[in-house]
Amino acid sequence: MTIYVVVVVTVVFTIYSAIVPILQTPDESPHIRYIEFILQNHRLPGKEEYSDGRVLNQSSFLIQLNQLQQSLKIARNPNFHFPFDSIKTPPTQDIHLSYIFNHPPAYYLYAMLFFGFGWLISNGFALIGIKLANYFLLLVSLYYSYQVGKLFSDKKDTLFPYVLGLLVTSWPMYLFLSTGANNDLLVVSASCGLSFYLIRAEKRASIKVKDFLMICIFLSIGILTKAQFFVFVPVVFWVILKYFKTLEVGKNYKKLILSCVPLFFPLYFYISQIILYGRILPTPRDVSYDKAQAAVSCHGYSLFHYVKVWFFPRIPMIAQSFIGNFGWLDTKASKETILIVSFVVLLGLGGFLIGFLTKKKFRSEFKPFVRVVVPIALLLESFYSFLFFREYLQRCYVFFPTQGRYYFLLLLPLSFAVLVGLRKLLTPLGEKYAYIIIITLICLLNFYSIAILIQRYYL
Amino acid sequence: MIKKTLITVVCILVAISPLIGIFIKREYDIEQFFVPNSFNYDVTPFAELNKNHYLVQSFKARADSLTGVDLVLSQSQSPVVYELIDPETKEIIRSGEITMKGEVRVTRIRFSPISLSRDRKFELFLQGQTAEGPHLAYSNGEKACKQCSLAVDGEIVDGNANLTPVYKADSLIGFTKILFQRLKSNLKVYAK
Repeated sequence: MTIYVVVVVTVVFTIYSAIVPILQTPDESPHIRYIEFILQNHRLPGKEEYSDGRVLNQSSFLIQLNQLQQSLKIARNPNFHFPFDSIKTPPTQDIHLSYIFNHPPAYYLYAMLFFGFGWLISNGFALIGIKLANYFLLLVSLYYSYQVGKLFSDKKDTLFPYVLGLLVTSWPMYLFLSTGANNDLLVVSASCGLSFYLIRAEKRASIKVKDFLMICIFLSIGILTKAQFFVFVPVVFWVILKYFKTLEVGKNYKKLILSCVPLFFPLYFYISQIILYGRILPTPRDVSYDKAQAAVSCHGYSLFHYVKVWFFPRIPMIAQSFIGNFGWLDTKASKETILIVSFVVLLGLGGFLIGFLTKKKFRSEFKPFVRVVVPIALLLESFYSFLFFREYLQRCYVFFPTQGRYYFLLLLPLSFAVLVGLRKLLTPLGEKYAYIIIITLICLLNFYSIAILIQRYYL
Repeated sequence: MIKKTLITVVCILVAISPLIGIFIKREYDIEQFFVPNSFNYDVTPFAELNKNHYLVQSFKARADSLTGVDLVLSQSQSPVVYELIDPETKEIIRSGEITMKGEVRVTRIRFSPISLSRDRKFELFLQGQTAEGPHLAYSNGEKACKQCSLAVDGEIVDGNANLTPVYKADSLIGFTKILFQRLKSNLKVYAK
């Protein structure tokens, strides 16, 4: 069965990789430039590039890619609002200096290894290298999703971990994102790994030294990848403090100290950032930033107006781009599709919630999961809300994450809750049929996404 | 056994139904035309046409079986009449009504395929409802265009729209060939 699931995920990933053209995933240009810069200079962008971003904005590789894409008329669909008769897009304009300095380097260092090997052969292989790097991350997510499923499945229900793994790794927007360079992919894999070890600790009511090491590794990778991963920090501290005694410090202190070594990397990185730039993630001002600020500046609107116009309307925007808004957010799944998928997701969540609130056995079974996941979800949403209000108050500028991928950190917990809820609701049909229906729905959503991508780029 | 096979077949068919849909339609485009800043009857002669008709674009079909056009327009709150005209004879070849939905996106105009359309010239006209003008609502709630003369408007006034003629493949094999040729051209990027 494991092999079947890996084959299915590999095939679906290959299909997405083949049909999504280059530079079509969100912010792919700056991501690639970041990787390319590290490869060329054997270091991270530093003070020099911070004060003069021209080096970061010069990439003959990206210019070539853009020209090639345009000459082949790949992004040909009219949804792509672009006049082919007057091609004058300077691709380097897409590379925002602030973007590169705003992201910690873990993903870029990792992807650089694959990109670099490919680079030795040709530019095309360098791009394939990025896809391969992403594929391995997908397998990590699959493995840990499976492991989380296994924690909660009994001998009778052996399918559950496989279906959970499939649901997480076959989520169309996740697969779409995996076709290009994007640090969210490492965030997803690290969050799957970390969630597993935290949930396992909760379930066992103890932490083993090996698990402690893995928690430190995944936490370090996560916070060295994207800022929102910091939401895991309080939960990790809470779980470790809770089961600190079970670590048997007196007996294992050497191993425990060694396990903490990975944490020094992010610590070193962020301390260096503060010394160099005065902030953990500096934001150099560049042209695009100023333009964006001018476009959505306050114009004297009240905070109430901003909350009304930006804060709440983002919910359908997030739902749409979590379920299906491909290309550079220009190839949307139909409203009907979004509504149906949202309904199924809410149905699953509702089933989970009802079970948790009304059934004692259900509650005791899934308590370890809820104890880990709910604080993370609340902290994540609080973090985004904080960003919104901070930007409004400090700069009178709305910078607020409205893309579903910012919530991919919760992809595994969400899939888990939905799957358990749906299984519960569909159980009267028989457990096996419940899974058949769920797998058919996953496949349907994927083929629908592939169909709209084909229409977008090729028809 | 039969029940199991039947369930499997039904599930597979349901799952791949979106792809079947693409093959049933068999529609494809060859090129896009950039529509210049001409969506305004002041700059287009309309001697023989109703003044409410606005020329969007004249174009030459590059394949047989022209079956429609995709046009990037802004939203309109009223239905719009389209007419596809032969510029030489002024004959209305196809006409109909389209209703644009509430957001800036592609408007798909479809009609029965025009056989032997290759190298024929066409002109696409739209008839706007001139009552109130467009309501191109931005996300901040403001209306972008307050005094426009045409309900089909917005991007076009800025000369910023694309028109794409759409054709229908003669056969399923022909369509599959087109699709795979294009996929191949995408994959060429990795061979460079």
